[in-house]
Amino acid sequence: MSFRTPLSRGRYLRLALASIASLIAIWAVLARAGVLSSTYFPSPLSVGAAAGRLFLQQGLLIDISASAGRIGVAFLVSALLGVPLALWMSCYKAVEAVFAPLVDFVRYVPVPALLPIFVLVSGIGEGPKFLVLFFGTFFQLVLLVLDDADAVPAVYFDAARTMGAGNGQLIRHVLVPYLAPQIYDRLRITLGWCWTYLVIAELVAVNRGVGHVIKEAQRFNAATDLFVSCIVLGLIGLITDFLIKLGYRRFFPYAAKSALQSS
Amino acid sequence: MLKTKIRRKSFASRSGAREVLGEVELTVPPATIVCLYGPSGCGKSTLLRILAGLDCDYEGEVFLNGREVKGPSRAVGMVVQMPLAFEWLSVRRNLEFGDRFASAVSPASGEQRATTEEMADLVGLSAHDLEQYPSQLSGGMKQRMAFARALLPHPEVLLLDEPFSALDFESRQALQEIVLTTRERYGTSFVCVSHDPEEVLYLADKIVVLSARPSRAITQFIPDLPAERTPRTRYTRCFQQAKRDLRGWLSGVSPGSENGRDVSPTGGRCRV
Ligand SMILES: Nc1ncnc2c1ncn2[C@@H]1O[C@H](COP(=O)(O)OP(=O)(O)OP(=O)(O)O)[C@@H](O)[C@H]1O
Ligand SMILES: [Mg+2]
Repeated sequence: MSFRTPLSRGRYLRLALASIASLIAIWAVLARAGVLSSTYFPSPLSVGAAAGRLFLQQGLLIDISASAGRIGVAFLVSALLGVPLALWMSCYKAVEAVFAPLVDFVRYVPVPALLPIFVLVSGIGEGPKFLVLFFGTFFQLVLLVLDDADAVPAVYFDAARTMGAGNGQLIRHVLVPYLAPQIYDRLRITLGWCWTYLVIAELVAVNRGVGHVIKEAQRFNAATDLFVSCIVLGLIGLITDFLIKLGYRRFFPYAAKSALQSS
Repeated sequence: MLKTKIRRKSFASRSGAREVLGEVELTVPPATIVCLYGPSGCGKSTLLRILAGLDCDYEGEVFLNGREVKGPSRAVGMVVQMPLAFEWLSVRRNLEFGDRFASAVSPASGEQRATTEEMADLVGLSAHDLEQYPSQLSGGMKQRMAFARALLPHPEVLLLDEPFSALDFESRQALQEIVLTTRERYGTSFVCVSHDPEEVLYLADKIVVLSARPSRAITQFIPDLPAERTPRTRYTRCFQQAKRDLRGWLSGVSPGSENGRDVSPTGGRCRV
């Protein structure tokens, strides 16, 4: 194997699929041999059967779309507020002074602990779910983007200013396009966190949602359902990540090229 | 004509103010190349940023054609050591980057402005290069792009902060020729920071030496060379002599001596 040399796409895919297949095979063999307790660690076949039941009879797709909807809204609000705020803070230190203490403070407060307060404040409807997802991502996102923005070398702004750019133009023509690929990637990571916080968000009074399915599975000790839910969440993550990465190459062809060159 | 008289420039630091520049006087007539020479960390980059109007927190003043410089403008451009590219734009759009900030009234004197193609040609970027992304260019080509981009707004003065030092030999020589051609063709003045005595000699009409921090402009050295330089100049006896003169003179320069005096060791009689 050559050091840090890209593989062909076909070779990469074959290896990845083989890895997944052998994991499942090992799992099947262990289950068959009775090494794993079937109560806590069901066999692949029974998990498959449970998946069929959940999807076909219990409408797991509806749960998935309910969860995806919650995440979509919270993530969108988080991004639409968080990214501009971070850029604004980075450009104007007075703005940073106003918001930084709040952001830094809330970032360390464990979001699950706030759940009762969210319920008190916003009832038991969609309010607390939104707030969990929002609090779980917004403050982290602000901090990440702020760090990225602060790291843009001053020479870029200097160059633009000697070409006549004013403050607004510096933001529009230098800061934002410079950071776009990084922000895009930060959003990808943030979206991943949303799925993590989902299970907490859906602890309170929900009828539909993947988090709800997990909670029910725990309640009734249905290990197979738990497995299905977790695998589904993992797959959703894998697929969205893949799609977002595809988009990265499309939106930022120049960045993809330089990555190729530097590897 | 760019004129500056700086009395003091300091940066705030935890242990009080850190004085970087002392008294520095500098005059850059039109179509002149002034080279700044000085020890590492003596404040050359700081001085350039002041000249560009990027740093206004100092005691003293900078005048461009009799008007005080109070902020950055298109009249004074800058090229830095790191080949700077707006990676998200094609090379062509990089060159034209400054256009979007141009006020509608320029060009001031109704003169014909150089086109993108003309400038690309001057710095040696091909039509093919123009359609690439900067990441597809070599470091030397990127720096040529940065030059062309800084020149397109037609600055009166272009400040060069060690723009050649990260480049290979060939690109370095090419860019030096570009500087000379630009001066010739557009009457642009240059203030160029460099650590390379040969480069300084080849380009400079006037060499200004700064002392260690807090820097003062110690003295000016006017190389005894014919005004017109060609690549051949480097191999003439005059050039070798001038190099010896500069070396000897630099080793003799000590802070506090000959403040501001113009020195031309052999009285300007050298002919090729
Ligand atoms: N923004 C700043 N804040 C505080 N100190 C600074 C700042 N910029 C520069 N300095 C200090 O001012 C001094 C001069 O820096 P400057 O970069 O102008 O030197 P230089 O002559 O360009 O050095 P070099 O030859 O290494 O490029 C240095 O000691 C540096 O630490
Ligand atoms: Mg410097």
